[in-house]
Amino acid sequence: MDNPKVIDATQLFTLDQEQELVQRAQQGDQQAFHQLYQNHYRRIYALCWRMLADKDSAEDVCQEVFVQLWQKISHFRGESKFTTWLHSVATNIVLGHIRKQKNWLQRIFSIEEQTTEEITVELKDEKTTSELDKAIQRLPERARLVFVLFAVEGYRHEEIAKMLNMAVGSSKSQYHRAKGLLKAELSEQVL
Amino acid sequence: MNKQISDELLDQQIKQLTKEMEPERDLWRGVEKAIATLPQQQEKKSTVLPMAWAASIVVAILVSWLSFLPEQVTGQDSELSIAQVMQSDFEKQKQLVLASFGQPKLSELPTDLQKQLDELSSARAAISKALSDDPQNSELLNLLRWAQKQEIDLLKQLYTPQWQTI
Repeated sequence: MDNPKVIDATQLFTLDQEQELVQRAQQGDQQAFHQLYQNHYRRIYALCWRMLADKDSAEDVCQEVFVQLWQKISHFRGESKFTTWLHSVATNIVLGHIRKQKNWLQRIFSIEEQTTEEITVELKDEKTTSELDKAIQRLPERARLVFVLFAVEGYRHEEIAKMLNMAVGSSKSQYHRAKGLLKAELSEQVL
Repeated sequence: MNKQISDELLDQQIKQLTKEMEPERDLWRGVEKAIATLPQQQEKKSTVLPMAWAASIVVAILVSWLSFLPEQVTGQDSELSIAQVMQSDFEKQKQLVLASFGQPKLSELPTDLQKQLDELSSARAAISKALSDDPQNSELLNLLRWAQKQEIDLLKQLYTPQWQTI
């Protein structure tokens, strides 16, 4: 499945080259932007897929991330790594998408209380998805978001709390809840 | 019997999670189509700093003005009440704006932004003080209106969701 050429290209890709691509994209160079897309879309898609737990939504939101990136790439001022900035932008767009999707009823009756049994996730890519990823997809929404942002994306609880509009303590407890649920889920599978 | 996996094993599995995934469809085609028609935004120059400068200038002008102002007869309640009404309306509007953004704590803003808000607030306070001495002064009333608007605009600018620039 892995394309060795892509891996080599990624490894050889230096920060200087990336900076140059960003500068060209900021000046409207679509070829440079396409190269940036090629370098990052798999990671952004993985982030969208894990946070949204839905392949189709993940693909749509991933496209939205790059469309918005094109429009607003001039906002990147090089004060952090481009990858860090891009992931932050993508995370905000995913969270915005989740907020938009929730109707008023869901806002009143938070789906946070859903249990893993109540959530049925369609995993079309059964063979290539790891058992842990499958278990993550079955987590309740808030626990899943906190888990992905903390354990996979490396955000701090303080940052997550701001993003998800919750207390830092809630972020920590959702993470522990997620870990507990994952351990239970994965334990059942090793029976 | 259900054998619980250890924290270590879970952490190990988390580390082994693939960082990249391949979507099933080619997403670039849609992106390419969209960006062909969408213009790129130019980076907005921050208006926060100019506003802070403007507030400082207002304070400076007021201080000099008040130094040369002749003694005024006080007690003109009707005009003073205009300033009070404006101030009361402003407080309500400010509360509405803050409520619309989920009552954020201003004390949690970065120090420099807090300082800029404080400067605007000081400018407003200085104008209000000047109005208490010269309540009929329409220029002061205009200045008060201007300072209030700057403060509201700054709050909206700070809390309106936008692209995060790191």
